[in-house]
Amino acid sequence: MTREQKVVEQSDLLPLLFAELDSSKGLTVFDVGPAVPETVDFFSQFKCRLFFADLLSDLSAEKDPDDGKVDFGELLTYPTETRFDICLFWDFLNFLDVEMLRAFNLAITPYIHDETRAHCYGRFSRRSPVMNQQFGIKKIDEVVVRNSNVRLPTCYPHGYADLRDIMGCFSFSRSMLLREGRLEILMYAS
Amino acid sequence: MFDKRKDNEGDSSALSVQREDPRAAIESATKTSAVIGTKIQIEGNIIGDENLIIEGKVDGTVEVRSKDLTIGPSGQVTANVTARIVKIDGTVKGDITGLEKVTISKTGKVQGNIVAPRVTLEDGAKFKGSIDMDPGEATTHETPRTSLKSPSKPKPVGDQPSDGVSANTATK
Repeated sequence: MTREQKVVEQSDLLPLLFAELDSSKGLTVFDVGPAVPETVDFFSQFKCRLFFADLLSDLSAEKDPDDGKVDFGELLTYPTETRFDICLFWDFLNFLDVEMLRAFNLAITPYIHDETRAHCYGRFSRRSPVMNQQFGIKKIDEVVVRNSNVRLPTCYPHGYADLRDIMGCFSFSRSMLLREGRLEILMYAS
Repeated sequence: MFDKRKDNEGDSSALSVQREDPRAAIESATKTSAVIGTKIQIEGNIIGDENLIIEGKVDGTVEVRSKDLTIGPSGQVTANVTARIVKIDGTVKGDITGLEKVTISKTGKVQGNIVAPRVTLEDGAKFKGSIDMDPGEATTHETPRTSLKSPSKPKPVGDQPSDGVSANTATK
């Protein structure tokens, strides 16, 4: 895949994210990545509120060289009544070290409710590469993957067990090994 | 400060149509837009009832509720904006309300919250913030294209293998 190209991947777990989800009252969706056309288009058929955080750009741009940390409490400031039905973390968690991962878990917890479900990509092993890519939902069972040219921060590939142990606000449900050691993971609020 | 620009300005074929077809002439006459040029900078509130194109800088609020608003490629708007249809080719920092539709084109850059029945992002558009969409509020009612029906939510399976790959793991 060249820089400009995008590919569409089938996802067996993505449909489970939407299982038994009542969209009639409106969906609240948190996407940790940048807004991509496909995701906006996909959700445009529903009454919904989408939050695009684009945290990776904050992580690259605002990283304090003194301590290398970002304050997720400052970055994730949404109206107090906000509760996400769906969280799309994509591969963002692999750019957080253990300490930052804990901080992210704490920052996201106030916005989680009992039925929140989440999707992320971990890595099969810590040696599995983390690519510079952006993700979006094209269809209920299709993910669009684009090569990105944003400057990447240091990456910390996390395996299933690492993520499960640290992301305490979720219980890990199912995972699927994809190509290049990418591990697709489905989570539910715990 | 505001220029008037006809959409078919300089188009001789369109002018000949005007002479021949009165209806087309009326339609063309109503398709005028106020333009804030590239070298204009406005601090304050803009409220109007005609189509508006912003190519310059605006700080404040922009409200053309029943008309269309275009932020041109050189437009830089730091304001909350409201219009029937909003098209962004430039930069906007602020909240955007599109009573029918909001489109961010490939050169558009938006930081703020969007409320509109329909929102379209073109490839390359930059957006950070929230989008409130309700297709039921659009003037053209469309039924959802995709059902959310899918397999039932599985029960959490508890501890996974230490490598994190569950029994249904498959390599694609």
